[in-house]
Amino acid sequence: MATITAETLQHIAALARLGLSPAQCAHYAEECAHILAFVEQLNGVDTTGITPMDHADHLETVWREDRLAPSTQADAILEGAPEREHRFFIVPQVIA
Amino acid sequence: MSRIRTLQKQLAAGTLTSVALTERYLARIREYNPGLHAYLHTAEAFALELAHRADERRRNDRDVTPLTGIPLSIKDVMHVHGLPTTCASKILEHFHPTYHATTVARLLDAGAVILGKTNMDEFAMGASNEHSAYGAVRNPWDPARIPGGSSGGSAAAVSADLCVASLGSDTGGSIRQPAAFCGIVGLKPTYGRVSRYGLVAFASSLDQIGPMTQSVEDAALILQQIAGHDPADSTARNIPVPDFSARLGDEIAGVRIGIPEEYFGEGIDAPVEATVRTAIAHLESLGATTVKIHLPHTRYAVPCYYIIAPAEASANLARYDGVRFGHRAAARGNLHDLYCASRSEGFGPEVTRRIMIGTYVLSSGYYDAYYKKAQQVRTLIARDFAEAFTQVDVICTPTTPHVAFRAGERLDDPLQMYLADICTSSCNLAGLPGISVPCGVNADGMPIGLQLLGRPMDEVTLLQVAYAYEQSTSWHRHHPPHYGIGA
Repeated sequence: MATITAETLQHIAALARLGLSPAQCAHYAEECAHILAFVEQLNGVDTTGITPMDHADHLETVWREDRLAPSTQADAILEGAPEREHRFFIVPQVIA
Repeated sequence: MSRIRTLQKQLAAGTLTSVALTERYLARIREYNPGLHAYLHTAEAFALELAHRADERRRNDRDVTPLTGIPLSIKDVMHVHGLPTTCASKILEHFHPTYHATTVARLLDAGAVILGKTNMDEFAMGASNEHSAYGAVRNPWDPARIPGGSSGGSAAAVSADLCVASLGSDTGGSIRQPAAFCGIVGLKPTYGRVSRYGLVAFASSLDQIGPMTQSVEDAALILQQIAGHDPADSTARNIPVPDFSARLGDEIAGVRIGIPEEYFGEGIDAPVEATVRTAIAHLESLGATTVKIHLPHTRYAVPCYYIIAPAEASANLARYDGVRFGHRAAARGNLHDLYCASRSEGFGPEVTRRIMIGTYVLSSGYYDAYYKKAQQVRTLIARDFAEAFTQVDVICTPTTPHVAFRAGERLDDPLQMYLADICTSSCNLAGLPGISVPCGVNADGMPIGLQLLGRPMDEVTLLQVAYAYEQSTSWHRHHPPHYGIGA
């Protein structure tokens, strides 16, 4: 069965930009191990030479004319920002 | 006559107005929604304004469609400009979209009335609707039970007649499974049939919008309006849209129906299996030919789905950063801390779990073992169906392995919850159309669904067979008690 150490889980949480407490990490490590053990039954399928399917069939390149068209107004989008100034989203200082 | 056709007749005759009909539905929602929690937002003023416009449109005899003046609800995962979209998540608690989803725009163009947004599992992840951040939905047939998920609010609302029909979304069964649990019709169209523009993305290679209705004909009428190419979604195929009602009422003599043995037996409750087998015998009595088929990779569909869907979700949900829209944590240090705090405060446990699984299976060192492997198995599942459809026209299975379970029963066991998708997820993996129609009840009176799967882009045959079944049985006329339906 898959085991996920607290350390691995911390790493995954950091990749996913999730801030989890040590107790949450332990909880999710156990649950994720169960789920991974379940999905690992796919190892019983011989997939030698099988092309991976990354989408439902029939995908094709779609062409369209390069034409100007109205878009959502920036002001309306900025309305939804939790913090903004003029026409900018505000984030914590990035460069010290 | 279907519910929409009946109402259209009354609207056309002038014995009913859309305003009166809408007021009636708003009153029903006020009365019954506190107990069911099917709606997250009711839009009274918005709905009445649309109803007024629909009545005016009819008075002027201008562009009247089968949906003009008909009150519908929309799962809270699709954008209706002017109403909030929360996806039943705290992270989108105060989010207002700046545009309509294409499906919504098309319903509004047809003159439909939108009553409000329906409850769901957070970001459409769940099989019971208990993962809504705003409280669970109850099953109208038995409030101690779940309505299914993730489109459980839509299913409960249609079942209890708190709207004429609803739009849901289906990634691994989220239209068909709650439709079966609530005794209504749920149609997941072929991947690419309906635009996903304005549908908040969960798993982009699997998500599809479809109608949830009181009858098969109503599903055809709504699909007619929402289907077709959309320049805003490059996966919405640019091919002609057929008349989905064209073969409703046609005989099904000669139609070949595949019965995959893998969907019966182990893992399927005996009363569900018996009821579905009775339904199959009924289809035979209507002249259909049944053919035993094999879909050998069926048992791998759920594990395959629970790698691919979380993987895509982990990428799609990266956009919730607490910067541009949605919840932003108050406490913070640097930008990384802001992301982590906003996301962990905003996402509920099931969404967190799936983001973690998805990130894990896509991470360096695990990608080939999990994600690529699942994509290869997905190919094999799709091939099983392609092979089967050389012998048969539609495939018939149970929609769910059991009836709606009791609230709380599976909440602590994510794997048990995932197994509710055992009959539905392969359809999404292969990109096929699927429909669930009511086909009976168990000893407790809980509804059972019959699932029909079709060839890609052949919703017409699917609807023909579903309609033939429905119209020659009486299950679609069964309604949950205590909601004054038909009174």
